[in-house]
Amino acid sequence: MKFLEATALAQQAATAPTFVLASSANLSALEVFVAAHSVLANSPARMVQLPFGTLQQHLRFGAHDTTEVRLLMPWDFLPELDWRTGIGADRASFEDMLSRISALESLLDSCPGTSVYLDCPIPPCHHDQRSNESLRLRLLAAGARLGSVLPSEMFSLDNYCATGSVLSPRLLDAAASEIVRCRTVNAAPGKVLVTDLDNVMWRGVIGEDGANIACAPNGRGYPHFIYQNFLRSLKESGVILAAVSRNDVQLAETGLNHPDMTLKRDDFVAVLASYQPKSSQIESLARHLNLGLESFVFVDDNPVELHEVQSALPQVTTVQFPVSVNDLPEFTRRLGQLFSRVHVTEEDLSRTDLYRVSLAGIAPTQAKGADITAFLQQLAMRLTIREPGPENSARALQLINKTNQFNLNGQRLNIDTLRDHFQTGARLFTATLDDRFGAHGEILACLVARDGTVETLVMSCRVFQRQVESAFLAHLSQLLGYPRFSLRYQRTSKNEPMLQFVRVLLGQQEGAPGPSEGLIVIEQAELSAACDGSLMLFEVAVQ
Amino acid sequence: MQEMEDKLTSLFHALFPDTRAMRAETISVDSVPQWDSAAHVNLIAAIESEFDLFFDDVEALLELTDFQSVCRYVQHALARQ
Repeated sequence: MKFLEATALAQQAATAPTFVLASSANLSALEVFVAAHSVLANSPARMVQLPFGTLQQHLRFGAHDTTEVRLLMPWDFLPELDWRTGIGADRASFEDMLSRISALESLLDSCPGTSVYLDCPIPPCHHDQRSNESLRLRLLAAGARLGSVLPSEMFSLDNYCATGSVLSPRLLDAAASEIVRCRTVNAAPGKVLVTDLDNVMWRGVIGEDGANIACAPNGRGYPHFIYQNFLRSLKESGVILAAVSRNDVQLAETGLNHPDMTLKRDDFVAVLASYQPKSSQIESLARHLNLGLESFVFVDDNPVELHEVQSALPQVTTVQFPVSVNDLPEFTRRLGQLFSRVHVTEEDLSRTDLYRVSLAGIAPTQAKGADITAFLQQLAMRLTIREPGPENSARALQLINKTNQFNLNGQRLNIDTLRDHFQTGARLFTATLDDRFGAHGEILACLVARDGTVETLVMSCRVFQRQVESAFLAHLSQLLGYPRFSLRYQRTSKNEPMLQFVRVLLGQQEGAPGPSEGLIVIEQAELSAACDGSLMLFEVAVQ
Repeated sequence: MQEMEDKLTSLFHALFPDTRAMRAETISVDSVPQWDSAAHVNLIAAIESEFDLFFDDVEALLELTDFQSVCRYVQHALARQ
């Protein structure tokens, strides 16, 4: 964020409450960025500084509250490390320095609020370079223990010498963001972690892969094994775990009872499994738990779901499950920060049991989620529709034969039956999707008989919530020009997502009984009404 | 050029509200009471942040005492990038 953008945002905090940002340095350039980030964090606040040169008195004799943040430099612990005083000839011993660091650390421990330590390089005050290195690391350890650490790049010696400001102007934004984060977390640490299941709790999709989902400590299960272990440790510190999934309850429970699971069903206070928007499920959970949404953290792998929750419930912190295993350490670090607590009480330890009892039998809600159309527009989705002949139909057949959830009728096809269909004049269409997040590959297959009956329609669950299915049908209808479409629909034990879509096509309400099987006829006008809006979200190419 | 000047004007307005009622050529250390040495530090920080610049010539920065000279300095700094 640049200065002018920060200035505009900061206006929303013009009359917000203040908090003390205590430091020995001049931080006035930071004010506008701190106000802007507090607005973004849904907790508008303005910082006020101490009178110049009064940090030490403030720490010893001042009044502190939990919203206070202290920005500390090495020379707040040891004044002789201040670059502006030069490198003193009269050096204290290494041991003396260590004991003074410990003394300030204890003092800070007893002050409410939190501290942020700026990892400035220190002047080489000892002849033994090993002592200088140890000193810097000892200070860093104190900083980390007391709150959070700003990396050394944020310090500008040039700026400090010239103006007395310690922070590099170009990194004021990043520094402010971290200060606001520390203040918010310290004032209200996270209490509830709501986690998605498919491709988060385990690798794979329970509705598609069944018992083949992976969460054991080997191969592709590793990140999920580590995640589950981490959640177990959070739970042991009093964090409440809940699962939310676009699945049937039975499917979700099947996954949670998988023998390779580290976490067990009882580790969760609630398993919210339905096809309702996740935001409405989380809101309902917050109501039942009687906890504020600002203490909720939501983890999902799908950016569309994360955005839906973030739009509808801005108080909830959303965190994306990492795509690459190498990003797992940063991911767990971030979650650890959000749930950081110094003391764990007896009540913390038994919290899950208490809440699970009171939540027994909460039903998934029927409610509207956020309108994510604007977000979908930003994704720049490109749908490429192809019509492969029998020789290029391998991927389509694979998709048809392994997809359970978004599957029109569960009918499987092999190359011979497909050839038979071709002989009677049927046409096979496939679609690939690309968007801002990358290429999703071939994600849809559709077989249309000569008379316009859709015999097969399957779509990968990877691209749910993006309205691909609606856009595809709308485009196909324009392409083929039939006055009406017939869908050979059959309810199966796993194709609830298809039923949801059929309801949309028929203009039925959520929860309506819906058709069970047979031909569903949809007039061109109905299809147009239900799907044309979705088509606008895509750039469609036919190859 | 115009865009840079517009941004700089907004930046002055944000830091020194009195300048909103002033013509650009009249804005200087002498005509804006809030523009003291502490505010000068914030002005430089705001410029570096807004234009993604890094100034290392402290002497030259101290000579920026009116809107026009700030404008010229930023223009040169951007041209050097």
